[in-house]
Amino acid sequence: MANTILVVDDTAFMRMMIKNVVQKHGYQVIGEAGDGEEAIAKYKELRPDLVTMDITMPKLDGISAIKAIMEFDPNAKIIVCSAMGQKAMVIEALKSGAKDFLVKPFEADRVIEALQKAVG
Amino acid sequence: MDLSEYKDVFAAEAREYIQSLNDDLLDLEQHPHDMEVLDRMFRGAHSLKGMAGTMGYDELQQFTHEMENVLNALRQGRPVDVEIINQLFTAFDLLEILLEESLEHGEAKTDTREIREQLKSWLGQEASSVQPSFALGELDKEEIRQASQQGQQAWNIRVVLRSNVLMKSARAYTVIQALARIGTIVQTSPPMADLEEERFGNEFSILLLSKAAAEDIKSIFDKISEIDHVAIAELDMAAAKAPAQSQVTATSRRTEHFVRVETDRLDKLLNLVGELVISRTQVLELGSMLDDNTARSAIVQLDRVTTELQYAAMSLRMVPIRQVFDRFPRMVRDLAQAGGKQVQLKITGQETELDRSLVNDLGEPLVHLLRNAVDHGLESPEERLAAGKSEVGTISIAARHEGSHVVIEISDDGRGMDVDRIRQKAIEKGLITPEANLSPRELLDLIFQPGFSTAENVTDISGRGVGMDAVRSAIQLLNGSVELATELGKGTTVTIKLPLTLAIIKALMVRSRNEIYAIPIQSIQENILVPRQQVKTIQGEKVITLRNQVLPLIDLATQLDAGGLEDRNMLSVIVANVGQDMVGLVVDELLGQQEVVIKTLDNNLASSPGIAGATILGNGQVALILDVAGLLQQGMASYRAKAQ
Repeated sequence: MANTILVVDDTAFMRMMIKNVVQKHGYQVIGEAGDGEEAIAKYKELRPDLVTMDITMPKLDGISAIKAIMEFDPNAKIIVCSAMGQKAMVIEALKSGAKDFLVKPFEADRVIEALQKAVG
Repeated sequence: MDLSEYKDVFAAEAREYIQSLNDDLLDLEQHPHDMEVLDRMFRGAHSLKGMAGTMGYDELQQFTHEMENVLNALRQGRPVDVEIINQLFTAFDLLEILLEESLEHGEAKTDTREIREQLKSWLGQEASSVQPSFALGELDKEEIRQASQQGQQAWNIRVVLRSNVLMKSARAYTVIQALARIGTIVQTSPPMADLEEERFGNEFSILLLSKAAAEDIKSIFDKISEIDHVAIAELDMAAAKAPAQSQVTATSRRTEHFVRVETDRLDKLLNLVGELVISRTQVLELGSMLDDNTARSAIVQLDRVTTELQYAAMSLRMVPIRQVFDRFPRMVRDLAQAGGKQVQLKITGQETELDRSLVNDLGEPLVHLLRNAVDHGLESPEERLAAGKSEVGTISIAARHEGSHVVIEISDDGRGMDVDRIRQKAIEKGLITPEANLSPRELLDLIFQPGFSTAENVTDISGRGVGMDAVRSAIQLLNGSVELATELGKGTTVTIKLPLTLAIIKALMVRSRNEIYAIPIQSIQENILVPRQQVKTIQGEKVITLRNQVLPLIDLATQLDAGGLEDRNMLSVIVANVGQDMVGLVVDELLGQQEVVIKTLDNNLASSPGIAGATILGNGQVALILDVAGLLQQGMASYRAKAQ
């Protein structure tokens, strides 16, 4: 049974890219969200095995969303996605409960490695 | 994922990287100690490897990986000699062959074994790396002794990261975070500060006290990405050096001294400085009423020192803007390729420092402005040639300090904006009447209206989502401003001004009934006095006419639930704007300008639209800081709804 993923990023382009990569490796994208608020709502609704979470998003940023989701489900497995130069935010995200991080531009095998390690 | 559309971009860029590598190698040959060149080559090989991997060219990727290892070793101190340079030249030639083969046939056939063996053996010549020893002071040794009495073992854990890790410090952090859960970290080698600043190669060691067994520690690393390998050994106390010996790192040429401070402590310090600034204002007020010269000069001295302290504190939060600009070259390149444009990007002022909290929110608006410049600003190469310009357009991003502001300019030498066309579009959209007489500057300002665009085909890249109105809102949220300047046929410049700090702003203090409010100067266009008779009511909304434009009025007293308007014949109206939207704020009295320190509010009050925060005045009274955008949204929403 494939692991289910919720993909969160404010650009459709990135969501498409991540979706393509993970689907090729047998993961099932069961939902997408474009901002932190939607991410929290979709997480509660869909209860995915994994979440990829962008940091900078409108309405509610990724770190706030991570905190909210971790509070709702301490076992949530969230991988934070950031751009170069956002080191401090990445560490903040890890402190808030993200299991791992990915840096854009993504390399496919890094994405898959992070997902595999997070699922354990 | 269909990669064929990326292939051309990849080919062009990969060839460029190989070209750079060759150029840099020639440079290195002349200057074997130039660390910058080595860094550049390493990054080039790293990027090339990433791209090759994404395209699925495995042989190319693996070969580039070997190059990366060699370049990394050179970066970390292996001497650059004639032998390795020659080997690298040969390797780069081979790299080019592999690239062309991959592009042509989808995979590379040429046998690379010989060169790889040579490089591998060169790499292996490095003296077997001695386990870096920790510098243990007496306290540390005592802690270890006590821990062992409690059944805890001291572990020397050597972690080697893969050489392609993009955020080494964040990766190191995940390791430390994971280990801290099962024990106590006494020390790291190199020290934490170096790990944080990424002043290390690919490996670091951790001295861990834990009751966990070696296998359990190993299994922790199975769950962490980007680890090449881990060596877990019991700490050899005898090998621990005394702290007096410093470790010499070959790479760094600059000696800088850093301390590591928790951000909470820093913020607390800055908060206190903010309060001191407020107190200083109070003291200044009282001091001006004194006759005693000695007292007055003491107060002047206090003022001077406090101002310096304010700037010193602000500088603690400053980071170079380079962080924001770093991703632009690649992005602009991709956009240019996608849009069929040829672009040269010039970036200056990367060392310009700004408050670290601005860095995160600045990226998006700048990215959008760059997209605009590439997609709409610059003409296609053919158009440019026809216009007598060079095929390659230039976009420059410049950052500098100007007084107490950071100024960021994005300019292009493209087609510029046609003010007449803007005027027409605005009339079409009903934003202005045909009779309205607007200056070029006012017309340009219309660009910031939501939904405005003069491009015939709004491409997918720039048309979606964020528009110029959002750019302006984003910048205004940071208490900054955006302006446009353009010359038809020559180009456009967007100028962004940001205050050097968020926490202290200049505001106009006003009184409405018994409440004192602070209105950020940024949002204020002008103050006017209006005779009560001139106030008209349109569809239930009070408005006045200002230079042929209708200005809705918001009565601060009623809007913010603080009581009714006093009966006056002349109304004091503050014309405030957010983007193109203007509103008149009716107040009872203007109290003057001053700098205020923004204090964050409890969640209750802060959720009131129109309130951005609070500040404490010199006399101890609390004044609410207005969020003009929020007020506008409320007022304008109802105004627009009724105006439909």
